[in-house]
Amino acid sequence: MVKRYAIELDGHIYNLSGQNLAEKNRLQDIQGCRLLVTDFENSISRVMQVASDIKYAQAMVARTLQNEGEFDEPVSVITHWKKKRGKKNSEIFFTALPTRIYLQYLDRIEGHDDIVFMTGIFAVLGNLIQKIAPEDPVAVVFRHERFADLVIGKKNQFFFATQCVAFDTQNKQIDTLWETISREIENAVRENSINLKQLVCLNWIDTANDIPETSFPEITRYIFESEPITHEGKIFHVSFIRAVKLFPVFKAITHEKGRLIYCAEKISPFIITFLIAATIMFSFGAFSLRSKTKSLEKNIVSIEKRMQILNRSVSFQIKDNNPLPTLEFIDSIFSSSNLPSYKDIVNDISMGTSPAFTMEQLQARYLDRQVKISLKGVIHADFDKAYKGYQNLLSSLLTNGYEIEHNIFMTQIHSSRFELELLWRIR
Amino acid sequence: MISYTGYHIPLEKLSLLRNQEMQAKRLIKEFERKKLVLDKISRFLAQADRSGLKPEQWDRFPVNIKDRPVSLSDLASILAQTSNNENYIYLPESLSIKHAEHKRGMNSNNMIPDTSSDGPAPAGQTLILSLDGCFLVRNRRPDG
Repeated sequence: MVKRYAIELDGHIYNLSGQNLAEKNRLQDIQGCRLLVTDFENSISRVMQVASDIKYAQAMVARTLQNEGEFDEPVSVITHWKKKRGKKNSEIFFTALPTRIYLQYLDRIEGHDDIVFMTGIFAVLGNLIQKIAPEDPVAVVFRHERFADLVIGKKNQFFFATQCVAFDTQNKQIDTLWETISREIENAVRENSINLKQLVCLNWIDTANDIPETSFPEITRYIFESEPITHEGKIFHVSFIRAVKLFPVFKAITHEKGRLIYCAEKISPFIITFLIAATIMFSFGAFSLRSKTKSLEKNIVSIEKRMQILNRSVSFQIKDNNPLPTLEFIDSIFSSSNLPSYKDIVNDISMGTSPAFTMEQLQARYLDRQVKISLKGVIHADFDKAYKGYQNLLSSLLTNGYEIEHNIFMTQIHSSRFELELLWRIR
Repeated sequence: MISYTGYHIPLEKLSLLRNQEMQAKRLIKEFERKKLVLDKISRFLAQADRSGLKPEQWDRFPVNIKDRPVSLSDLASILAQTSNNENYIYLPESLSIKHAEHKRGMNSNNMIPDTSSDGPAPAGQTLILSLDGCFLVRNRRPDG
């Protein structure tokens, strides 16, 4: 889609569509307009040093301009560039115009059917210097009708900006205009102590090939790259068009909604490209996954078959439907054969005792592969003898494979009482 | 969106199938392990069958004595019979021996008879015996 520009210059408004430049009566007549480049009626453009923080530079400029009598009504300042100089000084490159007029411009772009961005001539010239990005200062002069807009700057720095005016467009007056431009440049070079290397001239449809031979013999001068433009059936080579096209639209002025829509329009091709790439990627991924899925499905079918075979072999493995009673029966016989019998227990206890022992109670309970024994008794002997006898009993039981889980020995000197909890288990 | 869905569904399916495959492999391992155990059990049961070690090849004779006063010699005789021999197997469950009386005069000797000796038990001592268990006697020759 061809971008359409509106260029408002010297009281005329032009529609630039592709390589065609057509004059229109109103901005509203330009359909599909994206950027309005205007010379802002009653405006001035300057590079100024102000004694304030960079945040308040714009306000300080407005006040200074009013104090100097440049404007006798509220003023709006459009900043093209600003830079901090020391702690309390700033440099600012701006275009200032009465607020009343500025609001009219804003109303015009807001009232347009399309999302229109707006910028000034000096912003376009400043942007051109940044695009050329010279290390040494360069002067850019845009000649149109009886005016010459002059900006001097280099990469990230502006030194001077002004508009020079001739009385009319007669050759003599234009020569005078060039003399004025030369003087302004010389003053700016002297005041800023800069070494100017280039003079770049931008022309308009009324100022083709327009650098006098006699001007600035010591510096390189040339007409900026021009574009052939058809206007009222004639072809013009206009370099300002080139500079306009170099201006990034998002740097221009618009209402917030417009900026948002512009950003959305800008990124939509990337989103579409991303979506196409994602679609291709997903389709390829889906194809590759489907083939993997198929191979896995085959694998699972073979595994399931194997499981079925195993299941069948396991279910046929045991003829006896309920082998548990047999296993429990064998286990009980095994336990009976390996655990001590009643008689063994009585004998094992008797072996460890002496005639002084009297057993009051013996209990044995046969559990799963173990016997729990509880024994209570009295030893009728003095403590020393009784305790030794008790130790002998414990030692004898341990030797015969019993574990002592709990034991209590209580003495009354001439006799002692004991209680034992024993365990014997198949190991 | 359609292409994403077309990609996402096989991806989900692939993940599910991988899980399914893993589970199936684990189940097979478990089956194989169980099969080994069951093989062993099966062989063991077959051997038990051949050796006549099935419950139905034995007769059971439960014994239940509850708080019976016995002399030392009776006790020795009872305990001597509750051991395994070539004719039967005794499955013990519980045993309790207590003094019938707790008089100082009755405690002069050990209440437990020494069943390893064949000598007569001391007379005049009464013990209270409780006993649970079961005699198993083979009822027929094992087949095979």
